[in-house]
Amino acid sequence: MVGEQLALTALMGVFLVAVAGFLARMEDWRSYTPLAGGSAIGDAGYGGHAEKPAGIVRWFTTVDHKDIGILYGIYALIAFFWGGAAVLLMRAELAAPGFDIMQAQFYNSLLTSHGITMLFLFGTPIIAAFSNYFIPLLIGADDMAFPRINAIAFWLLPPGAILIWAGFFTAPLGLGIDPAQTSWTMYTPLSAEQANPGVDLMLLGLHLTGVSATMGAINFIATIFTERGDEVNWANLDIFSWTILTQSALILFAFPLLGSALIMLLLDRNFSTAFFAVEGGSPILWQHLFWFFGHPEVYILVLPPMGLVSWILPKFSGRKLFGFKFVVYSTLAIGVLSFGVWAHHMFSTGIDPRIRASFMAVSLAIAIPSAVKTFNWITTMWNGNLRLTAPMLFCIGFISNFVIGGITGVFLAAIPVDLVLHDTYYVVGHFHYIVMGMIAFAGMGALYYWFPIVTGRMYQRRLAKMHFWLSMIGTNITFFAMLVLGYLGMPRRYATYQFDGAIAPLAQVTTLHQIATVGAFIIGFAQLIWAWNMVQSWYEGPELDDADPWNLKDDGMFGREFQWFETQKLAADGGESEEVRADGGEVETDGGEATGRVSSDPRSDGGYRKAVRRVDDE
Amino acid sequence: MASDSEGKTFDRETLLDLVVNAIPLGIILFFILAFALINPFGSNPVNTAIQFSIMAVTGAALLVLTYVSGKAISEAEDELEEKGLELSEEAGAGEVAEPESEPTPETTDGDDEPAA
Amino acid sequence: MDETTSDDPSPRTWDDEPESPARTSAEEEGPTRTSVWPLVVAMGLTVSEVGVFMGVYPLAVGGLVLFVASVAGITHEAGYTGRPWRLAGALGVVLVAVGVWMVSTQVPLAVDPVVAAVGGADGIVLRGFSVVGAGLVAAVGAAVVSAMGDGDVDDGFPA
Ligand code: HEM
Ligand SMILES: [Cu+2]
Repeated sequence: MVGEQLALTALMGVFLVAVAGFLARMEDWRSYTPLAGGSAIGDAGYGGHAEKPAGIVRWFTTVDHKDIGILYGIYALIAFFWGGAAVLLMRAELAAPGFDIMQAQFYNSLLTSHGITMLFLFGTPIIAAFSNYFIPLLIGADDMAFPRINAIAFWLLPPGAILIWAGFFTAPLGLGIDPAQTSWTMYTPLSAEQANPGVDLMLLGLHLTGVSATMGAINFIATIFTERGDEVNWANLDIFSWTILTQSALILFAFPLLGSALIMLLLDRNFSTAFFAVEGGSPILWQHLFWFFGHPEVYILVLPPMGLVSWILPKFSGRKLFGFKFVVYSTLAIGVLSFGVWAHHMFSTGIDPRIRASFMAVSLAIAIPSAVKTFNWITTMWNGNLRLTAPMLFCIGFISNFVIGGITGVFLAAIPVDLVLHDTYYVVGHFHYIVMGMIAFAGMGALYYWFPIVTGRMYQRRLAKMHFWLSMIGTNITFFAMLVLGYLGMPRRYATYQFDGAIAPLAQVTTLHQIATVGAFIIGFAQLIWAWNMVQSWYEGPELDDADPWNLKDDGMFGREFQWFETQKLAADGGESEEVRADGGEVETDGGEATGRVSSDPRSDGGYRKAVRRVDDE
Repeated sequence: MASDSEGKTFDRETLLDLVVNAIPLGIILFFILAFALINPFGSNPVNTAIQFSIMAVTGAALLVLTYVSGKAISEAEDELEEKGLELSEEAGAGEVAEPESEPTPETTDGDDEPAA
Repeated sequence: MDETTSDDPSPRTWDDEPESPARTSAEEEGPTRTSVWPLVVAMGLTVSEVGVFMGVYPLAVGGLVLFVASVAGITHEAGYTGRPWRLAGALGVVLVAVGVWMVSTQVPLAVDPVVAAVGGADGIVLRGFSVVGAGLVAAVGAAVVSAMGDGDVDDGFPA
């Protein structure tokens, strides 16, 4: 014990010295490194800033919103693959009724990790990737209101992920720290009674990601309120910024509550408080606190994707978003109403029937603004001049999946239906139509749509279409099978399903599980195609020859972010040499300053701003 | 966008836009009435109060936010109009390369198709 | 609209004019583009959270010290304070107060009961002491450094 503490102290000392050394080196670099050639990633990246430190250091020290956006994106995608790998193992296990390839403990660990990873480490960050990169461009701001806080918010995420996943790394070491088996909802008393310290680590990691999300939200609210360009006001603020603003407000109200609830749970676990104990505050208190956060969280995840689709869909329909303001107001309505529905996750817990009825009422009301958006998207496409590019396909798939995901949600919001379907695969099907079918789809669509801006190159269209079709087919096979499984009464969160064939239709259930497994592997395969496409195109894709890869100018749809892109490109093409282009710097950010060139231009510092300002100066 | 009546907070167009949030509000009101009239579970001071306040508070919050945002947006519209600027999300499109050129002609404010 | 970014007088550290190294005046600053601090702040927060909560005292002390130092550093860099060491010292004092409060939730603040609690390895008391220790390190360290240097704004902090 004492030896351990001493060793740790020594380690901590070494760590602190290393940090001090790192800081000191940075000081050196600050004074002596006047130029930099960009880094391995930066070379290809549009976000490359020649005046930044070289190599990996640049990524550790950047506070540029575009770099941070890229970091968020890479982080989210790593998490996506972790969560995906976990679920493929689970689906493999579920291909047959018994315990075939793993034990229940491991299944539960994967289930927990999959849910938390996808919601907190993939969903929220992939949205932050887009909002960081593009909100300042869309509203004509130089950067976020608080660039450093922005960077802190990002850097809290990697340690958060390491803590959340910690049990998987430490379990083989035999330290007695195993992965948590609490499911993403962490219901008490289960989560309070698992003695495993891996649960504590996961809760701490979640707490860090919550702090991160809150910092990001404050930053976005401040940015959208105070940093708008001269020509952007509430009347012509773009739809994506509206959804991010609403999302940030939801985060501000929801995440601190999650943070407090997590701390209460940690105290219950480690310091024998009784917030969620049966003889104390009661386990139902946890469910109230969790879902008061949890339902807004699902809208935190889905509103920005809705904004992305509302932004991208019109671009390939050749006409403006139908009823733009309907979409804005219904976004705000969803934001408010989502705080009045949380107990629809608790209909079967025996809460007072009168209160339960109220939650049903508000849950039904929230379906309206959601449906309004669907109609607006469909009407936008109606008689439009549709161009089925990969981003557009993902937007259309998004709408189609939302129809199923949304309607199943309305059914679940009806108490009598929910009492039958609660805790079955029907619920799993419902929310996966939304989280996979909408959030991931919109994310993919936006990645394709903005790939040219971020990399200066084009992706491979054939591969992108294969990615879409396989994802769409896989998603619908997997999650439709789950809806049917739910009707057959298959309960969720089990590693096996060896029912008595006399009381349950075992043969059908097995078949449906196998279908779902096949679908899941189709989805997984599609994402491999996608990963290959992204990486290869980033390095070798054809470079753009103008700033309008989607021919948006033809329809008068050339958005502010592409306008910004054009000024960058023009500035770079105007004053740049071959060498700079090779550097990926055809879109040199410093408003036309040459890479590493000592400039005599007195404006050299203002150059960056100038370039952005022109978008909204007019 | 005729903002003729200075006296009123909202002009007709804006009111039409706001209708979208009146629908969920209407649903909530409907349930408030329904639960007041049909009451199979009996009344209990605490639970009945919670029951109605969940609906009333959420509905009121929706009303307030809709009002505030409607006001902010319609004021912002007037402002843009005064400056002679576009109301579109793409404001400034086509002007970047040659700042001289006139705005693209499409320019509706994106909400000009009120329930046809 | 650029109030926020331009009141941000941090040096343009990658400055491409060779004759002007870091720490120039704020006038012609563009938006900030790099900072070493955010990463350190995040690490400090993580390590101290894990250390304090899991009761790993060396991590608790080290993490809190790192956190305090980096908060002082980033606040200084952003131009919110001219005297980072003083801020670090103040935060150290706050930590001492928090730590003492943690101890006081468990035992009366008198020598005997406290010693008994430490002897009995009371988790919360020990955690309280680790926070007190971190606060002392921060406060004393800050005092020493600022006594050694002139504590001036232009002292490269922390190098
Ligand atoms: C049209 C609006 C929606 C309604 C009325 C609705 C309704 C419901 C209901 C009643 C449940 C509880 C089912 C049960 O456990 O018995 C539920 C579960 C769930 N919904 Fe929705 N939903 C809607 C939209 C969404 C959206 C947009 C998302 C995600 C972004 C979402 C994500 C979820 C999740 C994750 C769960 C499962 C939570 C768990 O693990 O138990 N829902 N939904
Ligand atoms: Cu919900």
